[in-house]
Amino acid sequence: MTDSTSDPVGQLLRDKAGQVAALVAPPDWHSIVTRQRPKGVAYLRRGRGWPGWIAPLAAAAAVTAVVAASLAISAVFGHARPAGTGPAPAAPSHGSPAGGKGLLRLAPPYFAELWRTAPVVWGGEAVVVRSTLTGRVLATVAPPPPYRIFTWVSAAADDRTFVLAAQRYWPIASGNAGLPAQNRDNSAPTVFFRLIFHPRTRAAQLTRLAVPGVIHASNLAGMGVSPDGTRLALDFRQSIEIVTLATGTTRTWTWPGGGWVGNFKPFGQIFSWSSNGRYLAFQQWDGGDPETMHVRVLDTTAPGTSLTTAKVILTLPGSLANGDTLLTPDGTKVVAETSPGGYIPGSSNSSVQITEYSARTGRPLFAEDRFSAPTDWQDVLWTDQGGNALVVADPRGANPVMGVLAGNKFTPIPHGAVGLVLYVAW
Amino acid sequence: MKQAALPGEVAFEQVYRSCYARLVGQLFLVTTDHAEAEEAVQEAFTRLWAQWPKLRHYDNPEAWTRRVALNIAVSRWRRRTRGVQLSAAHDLAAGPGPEGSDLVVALRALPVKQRQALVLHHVAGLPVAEVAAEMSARPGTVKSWLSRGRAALARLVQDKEATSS
Repeated sequence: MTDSTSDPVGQLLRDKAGQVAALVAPPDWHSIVTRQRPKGVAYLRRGRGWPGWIAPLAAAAAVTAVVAASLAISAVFGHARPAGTGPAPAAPSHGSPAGGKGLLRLAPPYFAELWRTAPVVWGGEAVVVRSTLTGRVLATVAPPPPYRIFTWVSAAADDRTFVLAAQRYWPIASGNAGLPAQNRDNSAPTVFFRLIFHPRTRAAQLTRLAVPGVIHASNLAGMGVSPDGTRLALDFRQSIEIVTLATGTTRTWTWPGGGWVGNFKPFGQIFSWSSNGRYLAFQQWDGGDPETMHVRVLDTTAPGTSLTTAKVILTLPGSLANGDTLLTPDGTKVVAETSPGGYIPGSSNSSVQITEYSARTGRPLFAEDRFSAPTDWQDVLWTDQGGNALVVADPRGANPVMGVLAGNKFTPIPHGAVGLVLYVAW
Repeated sequence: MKQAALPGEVAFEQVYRSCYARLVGQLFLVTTDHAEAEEAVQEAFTRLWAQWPKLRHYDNPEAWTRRVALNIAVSRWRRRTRGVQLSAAHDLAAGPGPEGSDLVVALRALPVKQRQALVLHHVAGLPVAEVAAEMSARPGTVKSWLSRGRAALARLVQDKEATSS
């Protein structure tokens, strides 16, 4: 390097680099770099032990008990009925009756929600941690620059650890009218962060996760963190990748047939894990006309690279399955939002309800929270170990309302009305 | 909540704090996009931390980080030029931000190899032989890149001098 007199071009470049550097404030490095030992250590307690997957005796007994209890509930409230068994009842239904505030304590105490100011379909400019009991916002975190938009959120089982996907621009999606075009870009890479909420201090710590490769928003169709927070499942429509977050190692399973893997809609909880983190449940659509949806369960410890090895535990016609299908953490049931009369908002023939199916037989066990002629959509967002307490979004009022559903009673989460779509995780 | 420091965390933070802004400035001259530059630098620091037990003993972790960041930036640039559609944000017209200057317009007209060589030699201060090693090229090729790049930017300097006089 020489001085500026003899090297005017070099000086010009150095000046410009210096000007740009002067504008840069390094973000807290904890938010940039995965704060973990290179060899990795488990930082969450493991989930409770799970005795096994295929119809354990204890689970079977539990199913029997739940079915019996549910049938009793159905008899009492009348409008709940087994799904897919004949035409919808003529009497209008407006969802499960109101429950007490105590129901809210059946769900984890904190949840994360993507928060946005623009009326967009996808993502949010910040994530807020809210109280399930009061609905209050306890912490708000924006992605560190240059990232500006969170696109996905998923929760571990410890009620305070979340994983978020982020990128620089709003993803392009229909309905994004009004946003400047230059702020929408599906080719921008997606990066991942872990958010840990500390209830005592209300601090929320964001740390970058080391997920290898370049992932674009247009390819990522969902994600789900394992209950212990150590692994992240990514949906790429024709494959599923599981990243071990401590090491960055990945394992990929591909779907070799027609159709695709993932949810009918590009939001909500795409995956559900068994509580021991061994089994991963996902939707697989066959691409036919009419379409059929299968819920499959992948044993992530078994050898193989094909998703065809994932066991089919539930098959539904596409017209019946509109929303998320969550495997209960104990592996005994699949909780789904279904539309026995087809989902046509405002149509008197249309209806939606929450249906629980046996993961062993694929048969409906019971249904509740039924709405005839729904004005909006319904979805299931979280389930407890055995599907006895759920968090759902219901078409109650102008916007869907989030609440806890248990024993065919529904209690709304305060300030739980939601916008166009749900980016929430418990 | 304050967590206990992990091994090497303090040393890493020192490198991070002392180099981050400087590297973003250098990467900006290659990418001509502030967000693109910052993203490449952040990604490079992510990788540096992943290998910190080994790399902390290097004489110059900044050089390693810059090399990785440049590789990230250049590979993204190549991917874009292969036809992946870019947002309009990458085609910014001159404006008030760092992207909006005559120098940036001139840099964008240069092949990325020339930009890279100019930054490594004139801004990072590497001799030609080291630039060649860094870019896996022969010294003669690097000299050619530097010469052409300088010639293109020299016109800009002359125009500025003419305007100011």
